[in-house]
Amino acid sequence: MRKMMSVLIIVCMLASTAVLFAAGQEEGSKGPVELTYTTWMTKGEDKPWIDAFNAANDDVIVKMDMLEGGKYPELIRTRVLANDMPDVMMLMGNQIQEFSREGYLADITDTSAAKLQSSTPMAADYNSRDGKVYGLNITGGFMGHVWYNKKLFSDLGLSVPETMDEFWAVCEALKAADKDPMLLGGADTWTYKMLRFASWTTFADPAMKATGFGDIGEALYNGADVAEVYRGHAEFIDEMVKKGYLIQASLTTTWPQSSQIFVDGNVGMFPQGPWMATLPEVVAADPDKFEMGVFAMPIENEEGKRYVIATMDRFMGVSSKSDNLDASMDFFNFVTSDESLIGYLEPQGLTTLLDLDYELPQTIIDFKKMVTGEKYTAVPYVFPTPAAWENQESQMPKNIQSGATVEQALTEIKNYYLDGKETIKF
Amino acid sequence: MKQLLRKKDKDYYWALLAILPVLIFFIFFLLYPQIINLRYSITNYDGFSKDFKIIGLSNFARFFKGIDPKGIVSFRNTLTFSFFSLLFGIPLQMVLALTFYNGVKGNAFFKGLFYVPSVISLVIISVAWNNILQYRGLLNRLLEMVELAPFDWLGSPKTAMGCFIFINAWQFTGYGTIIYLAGLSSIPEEILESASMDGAVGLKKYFYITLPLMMHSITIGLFMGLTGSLQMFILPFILTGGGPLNSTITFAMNIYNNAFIMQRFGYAAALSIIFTLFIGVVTIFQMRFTRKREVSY
Amino acid sequence: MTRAKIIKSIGIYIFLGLLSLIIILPILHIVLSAFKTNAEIARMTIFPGSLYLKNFKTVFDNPYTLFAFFNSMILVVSSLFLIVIITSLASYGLSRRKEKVFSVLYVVFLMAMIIPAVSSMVPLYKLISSLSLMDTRLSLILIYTTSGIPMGILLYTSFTKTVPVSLDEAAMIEGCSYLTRFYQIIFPLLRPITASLIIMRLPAIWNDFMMPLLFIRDQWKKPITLVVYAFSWEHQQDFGAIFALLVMAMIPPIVFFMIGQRNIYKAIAAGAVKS
Repeated sequence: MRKMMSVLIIVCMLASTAVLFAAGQEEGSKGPVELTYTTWMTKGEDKPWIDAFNAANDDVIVKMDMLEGGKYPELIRTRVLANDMPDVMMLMGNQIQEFSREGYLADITDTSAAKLQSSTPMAADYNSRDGKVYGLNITGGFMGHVWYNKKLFSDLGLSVPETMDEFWAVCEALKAADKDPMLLGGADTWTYKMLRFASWTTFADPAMKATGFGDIGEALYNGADVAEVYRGHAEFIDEMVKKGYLIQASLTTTWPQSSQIFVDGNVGMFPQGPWMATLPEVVAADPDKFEMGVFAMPIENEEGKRYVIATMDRFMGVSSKSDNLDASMDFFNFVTSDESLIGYLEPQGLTTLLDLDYELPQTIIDFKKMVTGEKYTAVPYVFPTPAAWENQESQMPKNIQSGATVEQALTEIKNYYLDGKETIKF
Repeated sequence: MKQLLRKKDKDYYWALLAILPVLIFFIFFLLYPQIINLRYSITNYDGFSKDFKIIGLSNFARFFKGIDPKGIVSFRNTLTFSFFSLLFGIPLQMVLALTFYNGVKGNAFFKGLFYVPSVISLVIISVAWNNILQYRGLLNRLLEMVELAPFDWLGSPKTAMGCFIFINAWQFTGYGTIIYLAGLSSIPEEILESASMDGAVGLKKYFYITLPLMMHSITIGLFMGLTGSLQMFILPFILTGGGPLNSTITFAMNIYNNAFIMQRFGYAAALSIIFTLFIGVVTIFQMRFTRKREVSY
Repeated sequence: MTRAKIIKSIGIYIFLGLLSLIIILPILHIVLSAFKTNAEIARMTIFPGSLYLKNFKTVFDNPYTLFAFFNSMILVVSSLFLIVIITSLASYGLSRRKEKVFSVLYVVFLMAMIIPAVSSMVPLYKLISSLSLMDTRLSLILIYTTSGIPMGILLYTSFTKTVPVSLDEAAMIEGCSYLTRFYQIIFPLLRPITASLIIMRLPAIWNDFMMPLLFIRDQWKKPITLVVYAFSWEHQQDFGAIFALLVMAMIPPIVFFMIGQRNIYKAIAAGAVKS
């Protein structure tokens, strides 16, 4: 009896194997043209585009592949190497550089998208190579948001710090009240990047001025002392850690945990990106414990000037190796029309460097207002850097929090840059 | 007579045919990749660009001269991890094997329970242990409940590696115990009894009689323990990413990082070769050492 | 029982009990977390507030989950099928011949165990892409088959050597061809080893996620270990669903282990005892 059962099970499994294999083979169907679109927006944020296009076009069907964000570059590279490149792709900045260099992106100079982008020099330059445009920058903007719990601040009689002295006072008050002055979800290393955006650019100014380059990456490449560029930030982190303002738990708390702890009302300040504005936990927070606010770090140089970083986040490109280049271009033009872009950016509360008009969440508008104006200068950071450099930059404050001295941390990041310089490609 | 001989010859060719499928898989998916490694190890291929050149033995020099900031450190970490994992793991497994051998009520239950961690996916294990070991995690919560101070187990460079040694033990104790138990079971009772009657008891009996007779299972257990622990990669990759302060970056992790994240594909290939040779040498020595001490009856 | 023996007994049970607690706690944590809301998970509460079943619903609603189970099964069944066939056959060849070439090959096949998986990842990536097998389950099946060779050869060869040659000779006299001899006479005798090999390799293949991560990207082809990523998006992760999925993914290997417990011990014993 038992033998019969095991035989039956094996037969069933083999049968289902065969069936699924057969089903799998049926993929090459004739009829409408099929395009592949890849993205790392795994919550389906890009789906409205796909649906709208598919509805409006009978002869083309776009299939969306959502890939994990953390591994997105490697996964796309795999497909490219296997001669199976997607037709249209959401891309990250350095992918635009890499693919256009190797000739994998189609020329989109004569599209409305490229025209729209041309009025933003930073985006236009970045996406061009040899006079032709290869990518469209979709989202981007100022970074360095420090979110804070308005309710907690008002309960403790605190107001937004306008000078660094006030900032330290706020930290001390929060600590005295047994709350976390500042928390990061540091188990996910990238969260340290958010604090860096808020607290590094101004410090880096002197070292950059010495080389005469405006772009940080370019300054580093052309001889700016890596240790000096990051010294201000390292010392700031060191002080935050030593005084217990950036709490120790940050090292091993994950990003989702940290955002939950923040909205539960136990954290004063929370450096994070603009997506915080529309995060579900934030929307669902208890108003008795939490109210969302944002400010920019009041770090100034001797001339009273403050710098803010402007970055570009999501890009789009068309594969030059597409079997259906015309259809792909149609799809690209469809989703990158002005209305289509606005319909994408507005509901998600995303900022862009492009010249488009739409409504943003109040906190994002507040922040934008805070960092534009006389005091502030926008600093670009688009020049190529060594592979995994961003991770290394975020690792540096983590090292300090793990016990390294400022000198040790700076030496390590300097060595990494110098060692990795040879891997930089243009 | 001649007929039988001819049949035997035919058999020879059949046997060769029989091993052919395995040979094909072996050559294609095991041997050939190593040859590809050799080929890329002398280039500066970044994993993607068609534009790369041959750079001779620079990749090997990069490791041995310590130019790779994570090279020597990862090697040291791997050795430390392996050494302590085996140092603590094997005696524990041995003790458990003896305990089970001497009979315990609920033998099957305990054996089964201890074996379970080794069949669970590493992804699950990482998530669970992260929740336990993080600063605000379950372990510290428990400590606070009994009025002890919390400690940054995963975030402190001194203890992070220790965490992995512990987790590794947690995962494979059951597996190792069963191997040694099998080895113990293979010793005929009479020999152990007659040894006792001749006056050999306790530790003396263990080291002079039992151990040599079960040495074959130790050869296997040690071999698996060595190869497994030297190749440790996924756990620290997910839990700490190599930190804090490079205390948990292992050799295998360094290979992966270089190949897929730092765009040093050629260097990663060179590291792979060094790694294979190293493991090969270590295990050959291990095999020799334990094989020599195997005793038959 | 003497007092000393009782104390010793109690000591042993305390020792085992403590170990069991350590072993089981992390697993318990996962199972409990599958019933928590995402907020509770982030707050790290120990027990769920109530039996929150939505996570399991999320997992079942996701169309990829069911396929993921199928994919994992396809990988496991196909790989094990191939491993069993080619290694048992090869072992028959190896165990019956005394020529030097066979003993050399035996050692060579076993030595494959020392090649670290990481060192194959890099070149396999190139090899698979040049064979145009990227994003196919076939590539994984081939890789898993190869990884099962050392264990298969070790187990089968040791056991086949204990099968008396007289059986072979009887079959030869009856005029059986080599293959018939193997499949009709020898293979059935190897059944316990086959069962054990399957049970030992199954969890390794079922739980592997490094290879699928590198080689599979089509959502519909993902095995269960990769679907965990399907519940992660750019700035968030639905941990509740992830835990629920992990709990479900734990079940098949554990069930298989429970069924085949005795066979596993036999298999390890067969490999552990002098071959």
